[in-house]
Amino acid sequence: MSISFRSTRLTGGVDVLLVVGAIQIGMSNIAKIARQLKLPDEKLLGDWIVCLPGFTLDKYRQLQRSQLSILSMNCFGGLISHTLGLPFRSPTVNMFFRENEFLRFLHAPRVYLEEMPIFKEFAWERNLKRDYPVVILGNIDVHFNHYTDFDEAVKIWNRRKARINWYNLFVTMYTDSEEILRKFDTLPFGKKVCFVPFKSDLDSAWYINPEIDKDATTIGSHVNRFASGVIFYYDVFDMLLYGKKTPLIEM
Amino acid sequence: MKKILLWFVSNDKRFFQGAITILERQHNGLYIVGVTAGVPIQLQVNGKNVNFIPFDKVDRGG
Amino acid sequence: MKKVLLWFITDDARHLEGALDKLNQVCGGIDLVASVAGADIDGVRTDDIDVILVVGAKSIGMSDVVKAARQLHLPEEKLLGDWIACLPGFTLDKYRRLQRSQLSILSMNCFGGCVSHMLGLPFRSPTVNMFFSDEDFVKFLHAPKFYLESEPRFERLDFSWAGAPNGYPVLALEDIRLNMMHYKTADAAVDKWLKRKARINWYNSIAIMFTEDEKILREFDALPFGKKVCFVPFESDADSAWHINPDVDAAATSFADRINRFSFGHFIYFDLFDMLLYDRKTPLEI
Repeated sequence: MSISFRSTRLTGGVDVLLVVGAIQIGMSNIAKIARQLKLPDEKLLGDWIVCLPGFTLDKYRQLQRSQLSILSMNCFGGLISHTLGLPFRSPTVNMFFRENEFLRFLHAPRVYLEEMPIFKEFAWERNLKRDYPVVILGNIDVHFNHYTDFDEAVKIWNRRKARINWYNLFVTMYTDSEEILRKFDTLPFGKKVCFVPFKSDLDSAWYINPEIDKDATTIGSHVNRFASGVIFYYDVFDMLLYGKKTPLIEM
Repeated sequence: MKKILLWFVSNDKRFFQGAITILERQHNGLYIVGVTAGVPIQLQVNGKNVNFIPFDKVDRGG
Repeated sequence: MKKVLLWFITDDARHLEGALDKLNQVCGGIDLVASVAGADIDGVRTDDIDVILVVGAKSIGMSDVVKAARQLHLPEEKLLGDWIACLPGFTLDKYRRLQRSQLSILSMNCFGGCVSHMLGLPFRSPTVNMFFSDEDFVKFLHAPKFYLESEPRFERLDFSWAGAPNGYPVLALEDIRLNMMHYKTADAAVDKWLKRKARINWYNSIAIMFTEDEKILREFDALPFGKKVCFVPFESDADSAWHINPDVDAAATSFADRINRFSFGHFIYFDLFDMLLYDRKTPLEI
């Protein structure tokens, strides 16, 4: 290792402020602390991020500056943002849509996001063993499965929707159904990814071989474990920057 | 060659060595300017003590 | 292996051989099923055909080819203009993907229109046949929706040239100027602007400009567009800076002219497919 040491000033002299142990605290909290301490937050780099497959400093900085917004059918967007230490710029976190309703949403996301969310009912969240609010947005249902309170969910939804960067969108879902995939594939988004457990020629079909990760049972759980960084099927930097498939595992 | 300041925000050092190795390889060497943390620590790399800067003494350039 | 039907639409066969070679290369072999000319294609079965290679397409342009194909009930998605296959970086997959992506090019000047033309893609943007100043274009990109929702107003006529003998109309859009260079009258310019702006696909756009000013490049680089390209005559570490080497094209009279000549295909500096699909810089050997 050819590392040399010398005391110098932080400003001007430092290219990277490598944050060691950052995963325990999370990048959004670290960025907050850094701001209070007047540390340059564009130089921060969480140590775990460097260890993600496909990482290069250039690509990561480009991704940060691109102000990407992820429109996601379920937790995927939130989880992958967390894995990459990126802020959420989308209301589609901590919630899910049904497949068909997500497709409907994607036909006119701007229109749907202008709709006032209306309380519909409570539904049972199996994993968390509690009720969560289901909300109607125009003619689609939004399942706020990580909330217990309707008002709280709507408050956060409204705050987050104001942060969308419409000029750099990444749209993602998963399905078992070839028909849903086909419909998704025709949507006019520049970067769109549909994870599927079967091989397909369609551009937006991202195959996940269900045999690889034995601990996951459904395509949904495969995808969430990918987003959480348990197993990387594709280069996430190429995926989010360019919508480009770079498989990391032979499938 | 990149100049790096290390900022320890927790005692979870699982990713430290990996991150340093990768950055060093990708940028043809690293120049570790110093280390800072919420509490004083002493870090050694290759048997040498790494310069420790108390957190409140990090020069932030105003 | 792809099944190819040749459709001769004009007698300009300059690109035929090159196109067949390229298809053969990128598709792992081709099977020439049949060859028909003009309206004779009516009634030919195309179910099993993968590609209808349109020979001589360049002299009439893809939009007219598509119109003719629609009248003859041909499957539009199988058409391929012969000259397009000869463009550097072409693969059938990338090209089909680009067509389906419904890209809108927000362009500072003719570049977007010319490149669409070169690639046989329809315009999905009002920024064709006109230009902005580089400063105005960056201002426009700070709030494209705001500007597009405002009414363009006629301001004045600028210098006359062959395409606009009485001078071309300059429109005001709030505080920026639209130089509608390829229109003869303000009415025609406004009409086209309004019609074309309705076609923008906001979910897949790319912003393209050029500048010789580093400060403008920095401002552009800070804009939150997923795909953005700024051609510059100098080296820069900004992600969106695409360096054009001024030594390559000796016939160009200015940097703007160099970019125009790029858009006409005289010199193609970068792989256009990678640029428009992924915003990826793939410099080409020239």
